[in-house]
Amino acid sequence: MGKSDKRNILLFVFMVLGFLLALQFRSVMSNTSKDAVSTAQTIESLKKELEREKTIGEILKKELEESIVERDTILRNIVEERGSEDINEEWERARILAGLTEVVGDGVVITLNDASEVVSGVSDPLLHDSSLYEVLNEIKKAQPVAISVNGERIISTTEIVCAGPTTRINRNRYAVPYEIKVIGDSKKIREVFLNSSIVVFEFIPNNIRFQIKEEKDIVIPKYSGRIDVLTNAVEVVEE
Amino acid sequence: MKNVVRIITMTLVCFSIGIMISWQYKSIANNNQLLVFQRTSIEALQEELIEQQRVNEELEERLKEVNKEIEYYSYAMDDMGKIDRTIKKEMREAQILAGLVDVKGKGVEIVIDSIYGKVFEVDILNIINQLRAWEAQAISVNGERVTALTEFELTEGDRYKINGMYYTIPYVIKAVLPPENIDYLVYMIKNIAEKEMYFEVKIEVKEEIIIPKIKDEGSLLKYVY
Repeated sequence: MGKSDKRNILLFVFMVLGFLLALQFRSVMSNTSKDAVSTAQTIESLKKELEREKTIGEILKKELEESIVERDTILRNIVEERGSEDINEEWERARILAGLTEVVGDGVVITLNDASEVVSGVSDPLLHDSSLYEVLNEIKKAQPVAISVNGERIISTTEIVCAGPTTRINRNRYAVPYEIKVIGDSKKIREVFLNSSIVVFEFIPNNIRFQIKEEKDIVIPKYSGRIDVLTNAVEVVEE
Repeated sequence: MKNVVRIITMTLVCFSIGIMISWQYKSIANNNQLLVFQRTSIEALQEELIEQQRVNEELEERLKEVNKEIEYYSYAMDDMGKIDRTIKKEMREAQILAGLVDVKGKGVEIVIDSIYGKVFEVDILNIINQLRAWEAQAISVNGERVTALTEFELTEGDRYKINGMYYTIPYVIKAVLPPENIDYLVYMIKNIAEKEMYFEVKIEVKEEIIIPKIKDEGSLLKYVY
């Protein structure tokens, strides 16, 4: 190996080293630059603001529920004072069946969550919207009295729609884990749920986490959204 | 001897450069991934924040409305006409939601048929869920009103148990939904129809669809009381 050969090799080696150093420097700088810091700060402040808005939402929801109860009581009292017991009874029955009243009773609480870790051979570690409505259908086969998912009462118009990493239920968004409360015959619900094809052929092979436990005095909230927007496209056919 | 040492040195140098290059490559790829992740997470957060703000605005508006009503009822007990109208309206709304009355409106009629004589639960559920996603306000399947607790159970003989009654193919789903959503729904259902090979789906928009009330409300009430 001649002297010029050695020089050429060293030249080449140092060029590569220099290039690498510059690349590394740029990459590190771009990470620690103002941009990156401000990105982290933006995320942090967005999270805080979201948290604050959620708290406001919770407070508003509670206040609204209290106001609705107060208004309904006033209306019912007026009807009662006028001696129209039949109307009150009919109204109450419709409200119970529509899911517009809180229900308390014994039943089961089912929790569903994505697979805890991706295991090789698992085809799908995520819990999808279709899994959720399939589970709800299984529960309905056991003739339950009332169902809620993450505090949302399941009513006749309840949709389960995938919206990115969350699921839209009664026009509100929820993320995993899903807590399904059911009032009804717990033995029957348990049997139907554990033997359903969704649990046997999807949840167990895919490692989707699920739990079912019997509970007493489960409180299932009433539907808390607007009712007029759920009924404004239909007209009652008078008999 | 000197040559051997040089070659070994050079090999070592080139070897370490190789390792550095691969390391570098991984590090840059990681950094880019982190950046993309941060950007998506900002977008997702912003979206969620806007959504939550919208929900809060709606809640605030409703709270104001309800509080106004409370004030009104408390001080204007003599306007019985308005109170009666309110009670009637609220009762009607509850009855519609519960499926206790026949209703009509603009909507769609979907017919599902299959030469195999069978449609799986998940496919029926998907169509019902699509209807609900496009805000269907009343749905029936083969004349059975779909309520909050209506089950779709494929039983022996490929019959469906719906509200405790048995039905076979074809399945006729009727739904009334807000007119502005009908086109979107038709598009979604046609999409399903194109993808599915084992069953047929036809959808037709109708100016007036009549959805019957629940047939046996006794069975429903039995569980409530």
